[in-house]
Amino acid sequence: MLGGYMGKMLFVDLTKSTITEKKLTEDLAINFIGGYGLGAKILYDIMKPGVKPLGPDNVLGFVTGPATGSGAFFGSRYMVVCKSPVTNGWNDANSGGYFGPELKKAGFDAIFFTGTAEKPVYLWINNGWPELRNAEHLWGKDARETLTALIEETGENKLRAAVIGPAGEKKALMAGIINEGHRAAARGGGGAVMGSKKLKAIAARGNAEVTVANPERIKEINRRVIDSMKNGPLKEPLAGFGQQGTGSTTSGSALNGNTPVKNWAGIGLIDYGEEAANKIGSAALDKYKSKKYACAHCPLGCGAEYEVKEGPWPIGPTERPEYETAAAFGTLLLNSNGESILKCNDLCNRAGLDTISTGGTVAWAMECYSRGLLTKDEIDGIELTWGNSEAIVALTEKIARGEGCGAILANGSQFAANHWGRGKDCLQTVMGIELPLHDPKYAPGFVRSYQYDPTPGRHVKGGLGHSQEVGDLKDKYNYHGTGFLDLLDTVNNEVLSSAGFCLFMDFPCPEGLRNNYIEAITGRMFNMQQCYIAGKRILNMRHAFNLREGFKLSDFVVSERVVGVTSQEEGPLAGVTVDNELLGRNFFQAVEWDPFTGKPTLESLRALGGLENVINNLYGEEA
Amino acid sequence: MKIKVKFFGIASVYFGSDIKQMEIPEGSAIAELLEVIARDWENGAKDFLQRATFVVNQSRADRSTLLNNGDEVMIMFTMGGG
Repeated sequence: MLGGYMGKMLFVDLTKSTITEKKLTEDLAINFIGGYGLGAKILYDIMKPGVKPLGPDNVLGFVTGPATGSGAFFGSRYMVVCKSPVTNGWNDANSGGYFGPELKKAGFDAIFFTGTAEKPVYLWINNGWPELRNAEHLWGKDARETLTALIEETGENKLRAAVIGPAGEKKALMAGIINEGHRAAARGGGGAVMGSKKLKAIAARGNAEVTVANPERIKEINRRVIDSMKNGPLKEPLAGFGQQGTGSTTSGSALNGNTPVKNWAGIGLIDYGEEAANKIGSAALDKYKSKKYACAHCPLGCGAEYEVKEGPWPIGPTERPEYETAAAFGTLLLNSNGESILKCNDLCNRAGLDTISTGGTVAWAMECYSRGLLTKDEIDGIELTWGNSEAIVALTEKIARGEGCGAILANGSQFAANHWGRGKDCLQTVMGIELPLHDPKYAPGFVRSYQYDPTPGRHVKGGLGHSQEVGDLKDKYNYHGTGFLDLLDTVNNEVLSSAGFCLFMDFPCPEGLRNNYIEAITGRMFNMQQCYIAGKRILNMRHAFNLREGFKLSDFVVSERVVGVTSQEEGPLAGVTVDNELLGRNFFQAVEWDPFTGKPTLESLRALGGLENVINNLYGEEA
Repeated sequence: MKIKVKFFGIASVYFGSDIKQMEIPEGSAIAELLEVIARDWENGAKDFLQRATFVVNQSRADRSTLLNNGDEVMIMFTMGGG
C-alpha cells in the first residue's frame, strides 16, 4: 500500500448492526486520493440515484486523506460525505481538529454507514476494534456534553469523537457534525443524515502510526514551511493570522464590500459602519481569549478558546468565532454586539448547527419580519428587527432547541419559505443552501464556485474568488478568458482537500510544497500534471453524482442580489453586476462539460481514466 | 498632498487604529502611498501590504488608483477563508 494510508475502510450497516472491514486498494488511493475524492467514488458505486437523503439508503461517509495524521503540516482534515438533504445532491463538508488523525491511529482511512439503527448507537473504535454501542443515554446531550460522556464511559482521556447535537437528532436540515466541541463539518445537512441513522457519535482512539514513505523528507518540508513563516514574504500577515485567526479580516471585510450586509441588500460602509465593523473582529473580541488553539500538525494555529464571564450571555469555554460566523451573525444581521455573536456561535456548536446557514436563515427571517412577511406571532413574539442582538440570540436559541418557530427555521430559509409560503424573494441561497459570506460583487470568482461547484454554496471550493480578494480591479472584473485559471485553482483545491490538508496551507507553503508533501507521504511521484488529472477526475466524480440524480446546470441558480442584477448605487460595490453566466460558460468550456446538460465529454472522461462507471452511466453502449 | 489613512482588523494592531495624516507627492497612486507607509513602518509593513485591499472615499480602489489631496484611504487586510 502507498504511504499515508492505513489501507482499511469500515462499512457499517446500522440496520443489521454489522461491521465489515474492506481493503482500500491502491488503485482507489491513486485515482481518488482520499477525502471527498474517495468518498465520491465509493458513494457513486454503492448508492443508487434517487434515494431519500434522510432514509436508510443514503450512505454517510467519514473519510480521511493520506496527509491526515501523517506528520505533514496542515494534515488534519477529515471529510463527511453523503447525499444532502438540503440540495438533494452531492454533499461534502470537512473539519480539522484531531478526530481525523485519531481515526487513522485507530486503524482506518474511512468509515461508511448505511441503514438506520433501531435505537441510538455510537461507533467506538479502540485500536483497530470497532463496535456499535448503545447511545440512548447520550441522546439529547449537546456536542460538548457528548464528548465528555464518551470520555467518561470509555475511560479514554485521549479519545476523539465526531458527534451530533440535538439538532442532528431532530434531523434539522442545518445540522452539522462536530468534533472537539467546536470544529465542524457543518454544511449541507450531514448532521441530519447522521441523526436519521440514529448514529450519535463515532469515537476513536488508537496508537497506530501512519506509515509514510519518506518521513525525513516530510520533516525537511516542514522545516521549509517554518522557514517560510519566519522569513518569507508573508511573515507578518501570517503571524497576525496565527494570533487572530480568520477574525483578523472581519472588520475590514465588513467595510470593503467583501462581506454581505443586511441579508445581501446592504452596504457595509453605509448600513453597518466603521464603529460596528471594529466591534466584531478578533482585534476587539480577543479580550475574551483564554488560550490559543491549533488543529493537529498545524504550525499556524488560527483558533482560540474564549470565555465570557459576565454580561447577558456568560459562556464557559467556547471557540472564537471564525470570520464566516462573525459575518453571518454580525454584518448580515446589522448586529455589532460581539458577545451576542459569541453566544450564537456557542449555541450552534453545542446544538450541532451550521453557523453560516443559521445566520443566513436568521437574516432571511429578519428581512421577512421587517417587510411584514412574517408576523411577530409566527416568530414566537420575538421583535426581530435589524441589529437587535437580544432577538438574534433568542431566535438562535429557539433554532438550537428546535422549539416553536425554531423547529421550522432549523431546516433553513428555503424550508421556512416553503412552510410559510412567503419570503421567497428574500432567499439568498443556491440549491436551497444559504450562501457563505464572501460577496461575488467584491470578488466575482466566488459566484462560479457558489453556483456551479458540485457542492454548491461553498467558499472553501476552488476557483478565482480567494485570489481576487486582493486582486486588481481591472483583472477581477474582466469576465473573459477565466476558464482555465478557474479550473486550475479548482483542481488544485480538489487535491489539497482530498489529501486531508487545510486550505490555509497555501499561505505559508511556497509553490509546489503540497505536491512535494504528497510525494513524500505516499512514495509515489506527484507532479503538477498528476495533480491536474487527479483533481479533475475528482471534480468530475462529484459532478457525476449530481448528474445521475438528474440535475442539469440550469438547476443551479443564485439569487439576484448576489450578482447585483440591480446594482448598488453607493459604496465600494456601486455599479457592479457580475456576469456569472459567462464565468460559468468559461468554466464549462475549460472542464469540458456541456454548457446546457453539464455532461462531460466522453473524450475528457476517457483521458482522465478511473471513471468507467461514470462513462457507463452517461454514455452506456455508445462508449 | 495630504492623505488620511485608516487601518482595519489585524492591520490596526500593527499600524495603529488612529487616523494617520500622510504626505505624498501630487499625482501619486495608492502604490506610492504604500511605499511611504512601508518606509515609515520599516520591518514587516511591506509584508502586510501585499495582502492589503483598499477603499478610497467610500469607493473601491486598487494599487493603481490615483489619489487627490484630502482623500481618505481605508486599508484592510485579507487572508481568505474562514
